[in-house]
Amino acid sequence: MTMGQYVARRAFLSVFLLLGVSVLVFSIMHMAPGDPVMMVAGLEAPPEVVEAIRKEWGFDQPIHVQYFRWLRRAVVLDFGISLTTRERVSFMILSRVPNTLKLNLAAYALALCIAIPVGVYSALRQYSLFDHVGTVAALLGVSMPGFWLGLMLMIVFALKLHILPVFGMGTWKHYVLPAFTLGAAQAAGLMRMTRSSVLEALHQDYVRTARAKGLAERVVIYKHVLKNAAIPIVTMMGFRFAYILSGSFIVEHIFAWPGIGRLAINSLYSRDYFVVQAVVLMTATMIVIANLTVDIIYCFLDPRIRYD
Amino acid sequence: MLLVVTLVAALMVAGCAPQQEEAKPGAEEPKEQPKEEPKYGGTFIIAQYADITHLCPFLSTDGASNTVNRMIHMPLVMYRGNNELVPILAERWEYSDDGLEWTFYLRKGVKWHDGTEVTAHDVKYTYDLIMDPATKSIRRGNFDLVDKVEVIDDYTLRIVTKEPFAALLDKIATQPIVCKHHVEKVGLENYNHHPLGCGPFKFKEWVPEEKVVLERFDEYFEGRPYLDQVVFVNIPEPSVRLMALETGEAHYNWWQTPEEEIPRLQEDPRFTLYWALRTDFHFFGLNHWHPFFKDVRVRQAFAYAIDKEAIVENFVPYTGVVAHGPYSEAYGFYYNPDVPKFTYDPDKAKELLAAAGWADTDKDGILDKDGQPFKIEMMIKQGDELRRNIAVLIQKWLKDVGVEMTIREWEWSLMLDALTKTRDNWDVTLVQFGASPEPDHHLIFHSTGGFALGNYSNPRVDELLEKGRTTLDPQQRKVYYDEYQKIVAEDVAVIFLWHSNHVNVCSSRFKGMKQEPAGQLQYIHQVWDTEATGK
Repeated sequence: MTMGQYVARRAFLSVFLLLGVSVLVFSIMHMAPGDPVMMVAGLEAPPEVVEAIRKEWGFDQPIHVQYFRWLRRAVVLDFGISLTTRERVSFMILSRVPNTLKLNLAAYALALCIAIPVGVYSALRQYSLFDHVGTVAALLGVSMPGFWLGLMLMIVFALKLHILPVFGMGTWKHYVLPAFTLGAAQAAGLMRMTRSSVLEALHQDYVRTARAKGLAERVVIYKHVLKNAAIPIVTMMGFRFAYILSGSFIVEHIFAWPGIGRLAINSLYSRDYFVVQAVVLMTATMIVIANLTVDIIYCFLDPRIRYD
Repeated sequence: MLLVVTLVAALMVAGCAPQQEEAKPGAEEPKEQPKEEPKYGGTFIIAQYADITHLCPFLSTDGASNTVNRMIHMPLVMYRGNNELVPILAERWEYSDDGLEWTFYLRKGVKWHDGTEVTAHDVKYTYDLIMDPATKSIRRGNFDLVDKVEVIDDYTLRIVTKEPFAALLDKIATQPIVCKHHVEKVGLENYNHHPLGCGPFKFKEWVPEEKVVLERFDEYFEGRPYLDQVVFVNIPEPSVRLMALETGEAHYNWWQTPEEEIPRLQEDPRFTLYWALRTDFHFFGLNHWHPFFKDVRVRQAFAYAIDKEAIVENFVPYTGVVAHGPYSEAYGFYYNPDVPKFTYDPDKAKELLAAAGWADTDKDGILDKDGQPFKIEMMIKQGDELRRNIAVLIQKWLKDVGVEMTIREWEWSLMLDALTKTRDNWDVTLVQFGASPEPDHHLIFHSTGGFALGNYSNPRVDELLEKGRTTLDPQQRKVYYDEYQKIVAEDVAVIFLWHSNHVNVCSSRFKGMKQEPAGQLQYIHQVWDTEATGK
């Protein structure tokens, strides 16, 4: 099987996967208790208004009719009209995507900048003071809940030191606390993964051979250790990237960041079906694409991985 | 998030309005004149709990949108002070002897933000739009009893009702007017991003999920606002909203200030706390369909078994006032303090239960009658920490008198269904009823009321509520509502626990607000920044 065939096959299967996800998302939302129309219309709305809203949004139709109508539109990125704001869902999502992307990319970059060098250096200096400090920091990073870390950072840097803002976006300063909060847990996991992958590679025969050949340590590390240690790291980076649009719900909520996460949480509270369905479907699509991309990168990194 | 059953009750305080109401400019002046000379300029940043959803005043349903809307748009009358209805766009009004025709005389010279004048045509257009089923306004129910709206001339409007409608003023007080020619030009579908009103601030910008920016309207009919801008920012977390106030990134928080933070904020000179006693009540609801609760002695026993003073003292010491009846003092004229009061008395509770035939015959610690143990289930909203804690306390108090109560958390929408539709699948509950200052409680305590909380039915209460909503004479209405308050308290329609004493936290840098039950932001045009330097 050629690589082209492999990619085509995976892409084809991904479509079915997404279809399955769409059925699941649609069913879960519709099986959830409560009447979305009542949530939107309010308790004091007269019955004829409730019925008019129900009809307008098609909730009076059988569920399979609703599903296919929604799917037909979703294929062309028309996710319908928001129940609460009466705006186009695609517009609502698109207007928030850049904000979420900016935050997540900043956090992702921060995580990479911290995790890779610290992880590699910890592995090269195993059981040194630096390694121990790195291990403790990683444990803290993984263990601390995002909302708690965010609040602590706010108290220190905004409330006490007055050097960073508490909420919102606009200047570079607004990025520091949410990006660090979001990046800390990512960096911690990635750092531990990097450390263990590099340690494992360091103990491989080919490294011993490279050193025996008299290669400079720098060459051994860069050419033999890091390249081979990269596969699990790339996998993890790929998975993290998949959550670049959906991994910051809590942080967006805490820091009042105007992104997809805030939109999703607000929509869940108000039972804005069409927005929730669109966000979940978009997230699923991102994960499928990220998985596919990681698999393809594997092939370049390690020729031993076969397409079949 | 606090559980709130916000059932906007409504029928109205025409009672507050004498047959012919003159404009009372003095009533709109601040009671406490600031010592310093007000300054022009500055930006007032209000922290909101959520983004707005609609800027059309008859399509918005949430508090965040309504707060913004009420600065852009104005109604004919408005609640101010101690929940009195004061003239705003209407200079005065009168009603016919049969109570079916209301005539409103509009203030002349009031300008829309585009410089044109507000006329009776705009008012008719607004009300007609709301009443048009095609608009799908959830406020349409407010105008159910309105037969038609007629323009007499540019400044005179007549509203004809199908029957005497005492709540009419309350309905129009919560309904700001839109500009006819502007809505026709931009269309309702585009109104969200192009709202235009005649309020003290005009719309400048809405950045979704981030902020709404309003700027002052120099020709506002109550005088040019002191502030240059009002900005609404969205901070969903209550603790973060407070931090934003402390760092100066926001200046005002009107939603869910954490109870435990209030003593500290009261001591902090950087903040001024504004209190507004609400016309709501939090209550222990009993399902009157349940056979156990058909006997009034059992209901009264529960009222004696629950220590409402302890609940307020322990859970809402600052934001709660013990309730004995359906009206708080914020109802002003209609408040009747002389209602039966049930104070904590477990011995009295046991006596009443025994008198009702309940006894612990099998000595298992739980009362029983005709072989049925007194076991009930409490329905509370999922994730509502406040009510979960109160429920545990009530569970203990009821256990002390021989009643076993289990607690079950319900998903909110299911709970709403249970309260309003499938009414026989719950025993007791803890919720809040949030009402307007209109005394009519037909919605919840009339046997045919839309929500009929707890399925309460009492023919005398029905009669009083019916008379109250169709009587326009305030003195006569008060007679009906005084008796109504006594009966629902004595009959234990529900067990009243506390009224909300809402707190708004404002940076002390800003002056011009008032301590009034009707709230603070309706005086936004008088708010000024002590650090402003503008002209």
